Amino acid sequence: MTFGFERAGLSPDVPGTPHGGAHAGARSHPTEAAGTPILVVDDDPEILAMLRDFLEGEGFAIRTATNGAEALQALDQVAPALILLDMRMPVLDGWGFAARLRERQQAYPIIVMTAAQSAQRWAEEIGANGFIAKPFDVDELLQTIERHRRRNGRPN
Amino acid sequence: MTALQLIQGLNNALFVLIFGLVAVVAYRRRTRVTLDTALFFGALAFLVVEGPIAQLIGFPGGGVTTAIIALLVMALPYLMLRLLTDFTSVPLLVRSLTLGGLIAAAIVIVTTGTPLDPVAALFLIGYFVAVALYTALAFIRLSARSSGVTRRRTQAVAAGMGLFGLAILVAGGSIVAPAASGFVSGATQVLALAAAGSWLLGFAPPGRLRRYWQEPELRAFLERASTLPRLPTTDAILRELERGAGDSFGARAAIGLYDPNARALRFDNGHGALPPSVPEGSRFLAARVFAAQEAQFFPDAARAHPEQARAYRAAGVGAVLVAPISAGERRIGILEAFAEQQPVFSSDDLALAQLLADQAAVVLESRALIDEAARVKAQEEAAKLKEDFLSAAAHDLKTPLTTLLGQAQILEVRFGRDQTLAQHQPAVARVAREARRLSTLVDDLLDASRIEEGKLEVRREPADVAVVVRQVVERHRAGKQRIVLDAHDRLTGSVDRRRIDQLVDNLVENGLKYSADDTPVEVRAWRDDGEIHISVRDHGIGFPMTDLPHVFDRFHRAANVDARRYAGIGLGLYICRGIVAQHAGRIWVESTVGAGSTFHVTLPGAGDGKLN
Repeated sequence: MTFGFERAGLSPDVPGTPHGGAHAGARSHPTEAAGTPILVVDDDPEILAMLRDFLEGEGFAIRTATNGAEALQALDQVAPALILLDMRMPVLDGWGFAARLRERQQAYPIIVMTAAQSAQRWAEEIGANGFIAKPFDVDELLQTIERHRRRNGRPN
Repeated sequence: MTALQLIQGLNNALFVLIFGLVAVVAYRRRTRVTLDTALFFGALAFLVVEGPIAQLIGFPGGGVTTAIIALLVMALPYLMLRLLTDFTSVPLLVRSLTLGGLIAAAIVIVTTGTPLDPVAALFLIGYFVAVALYTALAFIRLSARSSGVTRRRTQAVAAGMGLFGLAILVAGGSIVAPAASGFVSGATQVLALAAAGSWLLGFAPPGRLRRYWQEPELRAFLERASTLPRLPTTDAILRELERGAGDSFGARAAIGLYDPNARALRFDNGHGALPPSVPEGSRFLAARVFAAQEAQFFPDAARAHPEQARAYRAAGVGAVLVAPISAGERRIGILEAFAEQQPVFSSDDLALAQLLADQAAVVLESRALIDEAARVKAQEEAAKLKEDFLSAAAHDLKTPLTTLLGQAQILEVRFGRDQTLAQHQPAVARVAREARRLSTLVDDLLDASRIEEGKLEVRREPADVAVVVRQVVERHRAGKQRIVLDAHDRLTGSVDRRRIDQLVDNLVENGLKYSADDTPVEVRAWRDDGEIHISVRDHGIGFPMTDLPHVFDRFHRAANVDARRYAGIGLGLYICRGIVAQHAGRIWVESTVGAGSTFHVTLPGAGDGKLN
């Protein structure tokens, strides 16, 4: 199966937007940008595009997946500093994805990102590190990512 | 002892046995029918027993005695017809002729004395046989109209009548052909024995035979009954039960269900004999049996319930059978069968009525259970559907909002930084602000729906309410310096931080919204007798007294609120109440129009509350 990744694209060397990061100058992550991307998993392409715009502007490398199965394939190629995980997705949802990760004995910091009122409970159910309720303020998202992302391959 | 004597002995014993049985029945239930039956068989028994006893005690068979016996014999046809009139209508002509025959026979016997001359004897025999055959035919017609055990019993009675008539006819043969008297006597005895046997089966069948006769009909009813609970409506089931019961009786039947609210039995199908609603405790036969909870037979409905006599007559109802339908202690209703004439064997019908009523109870109870199960299932499905809809709506509304809000916020920062775009920054900021507001409205609508459904998710864990209150105030102070905070330290309670944040946010927002910009909004948080107490006071427009009871209702907006000046859909305080309720706390408001409002919230504190 080759769906998704080339199209969704891993773009480690692409710089941010032409205008630089939204908060560029305030924060910069020159070293992480090249090596350890953030894996964003969401079935909504607009949200993926918005998050790519924002996070690349902030200097992060981004890898995207539109469901849990694609996310697992991405993990075969990269070890992300953090996974932003939507829960309700087709093919393989957030719970299924987390279960497969456990089977594979892989562990990455995960932030559950959902519109449901049960965000916190779901995050606890799959053993995620944190959660953020949609819709969110981008500042809040950035703070949450900073709190949980792995730096230089070590857990925070 | 000759064979003839043996038959005669058997015959006599059988007549006495039948008399004994019907006499017991007549003693137990003194109705016209049972008395007439006892009278008829009493006369027969006396006739067959009188001869041997008279011989035994050496009673001289004088002329008077013989005349009395002859009169008694001639009374038999009249008694047979009388028995028949108890069960079916007999034309006046027939009744008059029979009575006339009896009188004529009496005159003949008294005037000519015994032995009778052959012509008179032939006349009397002809009269006897004619009445017996008429009665037999009438019972055959009756049996055609009835069903089940009653039909069999009527057939047996008809056979008895016919055989008895035949026996008399054969006995009359000895007058025509005296030479054959030996044969005639034997044939008469055999026919009389057969008649007696038939009557025994008809009037007093053994229980086993009775059950055997009852079985096919009951079986048919039960087989149909097992499919009844699956009929689409309770009404359809009632109509089927009524039809089945009616068929079993060969009569019309109605079922009344008890309505505890109206304290009445409800009939959809009263056959004109019953009103649609029969009050409990009234004089109606249905109400009486419902109260007594015991099946009853009313041979004459008009006499049993004279107030209703006109209706019974108009509906062509003579006799009524009523049986209670109940399941254990639960009284469900009654089953009522209407017949134009008294049924031939009411005792059997009474037992059958109770059996059918019991079966109806089983069917109706099954139906009630099926209905209840379906209702619970539908309710669960509806609740599930609504919940599914809510979470789908939440997801679908919030997904585009996430992109909208995020993208607007990203652009807001970038525009602010770029000289050429800076002039547009306020416009983008407005988009971001409105997206945030829209998102809050969506949250409010969803939360209000969840509160209504009792599905608001609250995760309580130990947290410092003071910290939450402080955060909310800081957030609002960014633009509004008029918020005054007085919060004690460490107000630990078991709360959902995000919900308490939402609660205090709503109250502060409310205070800011309905008061002038130059007045303070005072937020206090303290511990009061173990409870955490939060108050938010404004010096704004306040609520009129009449609005106070409705302040926390959904979509309620106070009478003095100008909807054009103050935006809002009236969900904030409703949600506040829902959140407080989920925390087992209290919320109330004190207010004076023009002077302002103070909202109070109390939440249960953590265990160490009293020590602080």
